Amino acid sequence: MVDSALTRRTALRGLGTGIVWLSYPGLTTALGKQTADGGLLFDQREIRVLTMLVDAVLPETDTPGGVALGVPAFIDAQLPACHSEAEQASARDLVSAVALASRERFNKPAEKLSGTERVTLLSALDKGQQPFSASQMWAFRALKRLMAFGYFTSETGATEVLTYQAVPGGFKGSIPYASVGTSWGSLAYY
Amino acid sequence: MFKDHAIGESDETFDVIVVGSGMSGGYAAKEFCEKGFRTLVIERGRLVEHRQDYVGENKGPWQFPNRTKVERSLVERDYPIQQKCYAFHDGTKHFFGNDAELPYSTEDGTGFDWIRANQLGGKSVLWHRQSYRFNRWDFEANAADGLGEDWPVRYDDLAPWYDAVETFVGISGNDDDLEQLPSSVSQPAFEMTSPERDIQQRLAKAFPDRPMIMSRCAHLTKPTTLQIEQGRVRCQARNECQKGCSFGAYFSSLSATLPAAAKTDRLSIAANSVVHSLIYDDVSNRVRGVRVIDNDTLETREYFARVVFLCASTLGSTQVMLNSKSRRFPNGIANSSGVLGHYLMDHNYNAGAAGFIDGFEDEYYSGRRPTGIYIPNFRYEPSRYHEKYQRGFAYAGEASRQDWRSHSGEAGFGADYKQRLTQAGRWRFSLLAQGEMLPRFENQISLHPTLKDKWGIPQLHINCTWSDNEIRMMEDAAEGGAEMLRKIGLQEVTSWMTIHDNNPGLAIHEVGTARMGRDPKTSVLNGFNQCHDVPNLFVTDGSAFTSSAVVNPSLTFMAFTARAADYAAKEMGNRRL
Repeated sequence: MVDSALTRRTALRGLGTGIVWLSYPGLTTALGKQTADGGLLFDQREIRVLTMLVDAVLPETDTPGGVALGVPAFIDAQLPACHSEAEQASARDLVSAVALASRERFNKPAEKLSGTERVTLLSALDKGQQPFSASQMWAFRALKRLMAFGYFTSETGATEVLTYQAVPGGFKGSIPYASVGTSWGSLAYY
Repeated sequence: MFKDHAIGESDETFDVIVVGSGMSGGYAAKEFCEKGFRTLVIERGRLVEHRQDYVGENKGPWQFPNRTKVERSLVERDYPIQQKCYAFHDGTKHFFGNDAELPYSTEDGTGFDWIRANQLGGKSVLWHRQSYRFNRWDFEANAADGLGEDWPVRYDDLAPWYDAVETFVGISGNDDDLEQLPSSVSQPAFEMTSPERDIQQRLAKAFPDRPMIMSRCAHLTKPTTLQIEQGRVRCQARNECQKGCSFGAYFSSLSATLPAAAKTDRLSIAANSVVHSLIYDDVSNRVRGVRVIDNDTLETREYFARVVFLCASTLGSTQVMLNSKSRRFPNGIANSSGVLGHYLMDHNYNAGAAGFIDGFEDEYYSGRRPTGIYIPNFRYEPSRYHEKYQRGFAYAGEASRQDWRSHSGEAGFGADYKQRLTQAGRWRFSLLAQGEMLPRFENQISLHPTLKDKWGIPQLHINCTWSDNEIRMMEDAAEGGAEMLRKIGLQEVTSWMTIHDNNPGLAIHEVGTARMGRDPKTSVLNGFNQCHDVPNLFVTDGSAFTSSAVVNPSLTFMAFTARAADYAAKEMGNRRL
């Protein structure tokens, strides 16, 4: 398990960067298919919570954060395009549960939580502890997988955060890991 | 290039009609054209041009609207079966058949997943490229254990044709000197990773009769002059083969056999031509040609030839034969034996085992190897059979480092979590069992009595199930695989069995249904893939198989096709055909 004090500290470190709410790209690129007051699946309030979650899970560090790489908009588009109704509902329920827990515990909207408050809330969610359930923990894992998928299949995520070989030129079975330094961003199957 | 050979209606009587342009049809076309025969290839799907029609190639995941995933509504409407294939994604979906247009039925309580690739090149565009020879016991097993019709062919009959096909196709692999897996004419093998080399040595000590080798696959690693002249070059290790490969580095009809046929100028191609049935003349007892329905306009036309080679895939060829009814053959052409449609087989890819190998943190690999390691069938002769089942299986596998795809579902969030996702993780070694499926009379395809497809052709009805033998084999493959991995010191070993979840079909190795044999009363084809009943009709795809053996079948399809073409050419030269 990774929920050590160290993890909490490093998670906090990513939170000082601020989030530009108005830069949510899905709002401007998916006109015509949006819900009345938001994106393709989530409404505007849910998108604010989703964006907070993406920022907390994939913060800006020495590499771009998930929000800067458009992960919230990706999730809002990918879920209705490629995932089942049940998976969509599960993601929305999770976002609602986070919003509710934030109001009940800290008396403020999830996107207004301080860095410490976020870590408190998400640590509980990540372990399925009160006020969250085990099924919400698994929904969070699924959402994190989708965040990572959106992040590392973006051009920046695949080619700059990771190392990308469009045409490797051949296969070598043994090279020093240090000569690459990251896992490969170029995969045969995603 | 292929469009220069395309024809519509034609009055010409060709020397040979080849139905299908995939693995077998492409090879038949090459052989007949090179031998001087005017050859018509009939393809039910569209023309695909090498390179220019590989529309999914050279794209990063961010260049697909849903990052290589296919929209759910489209999958549900058009690809509910095709999407079960591991290679189905947004960069390849145009090479899969549309399930909505290609209906078939299955017997109540059974299922069969029929993967389709109806375009020029057929499944040779989509194949997994593993290439192995049958061994001598594969041809002798039916006679030895009595579980099937004896092959009328032995290893030595086919060996020279394997040589010829491998030289042309280009197979990478080692000369492993194994009686259970005869060596191919080969180009250099792909490299193993360091953990794989280590595991290979540990297995050699713990299980000396189960050698682990580098797999053999139809990728160029040291192309010949002929291959270079064809515009084919060394594999670049992208492992995106099913999108199409403009390097021509993996073998397909589009990169190799059809260009060789086209070069002779004796090749014609009738695309968008769905074969309805064979035209049979009962006075001469010969087929005169084929009746086709246009894929788009649904108009009917006919093509004529001295000899017809059916290479339309196992289910496709047999469907055509079943639908070719006459007074002499009321139940399908060349079916006096009554076995046409019976003895359907696939391979059984429904068990596996995996574990972690510690260490090697400083090791990585460069490139995406389009193949893996292989443990050939170690139960290859009756004396080596397991007490609980007949025949055997191979393991395919690999060791690779985990990445964000597995790490992202673990606990954690924030900077540490994100950093972990960017790094290569532990080495995991996995084995996937590839088992033989027994030939059983009950596993049958037939024409549905009432349902037809949009071309007016009776739909196939499939009745195919796993037998207890296949189930017991997978149980052993799962348990035995885990035991092997534990014994050589892997960590957190797990195993699985999926035979109760998966229908036959998904190995995409369907064979049988027009089997060979010595006796016309119990088989459809003789040892040269020639119909016992109708001398100028040959079937050289997987339909001809009397057992599935363990290894991937495409190389054997091609070897049989080349051998049958040689035989037919001589018979035509002697005016017996």
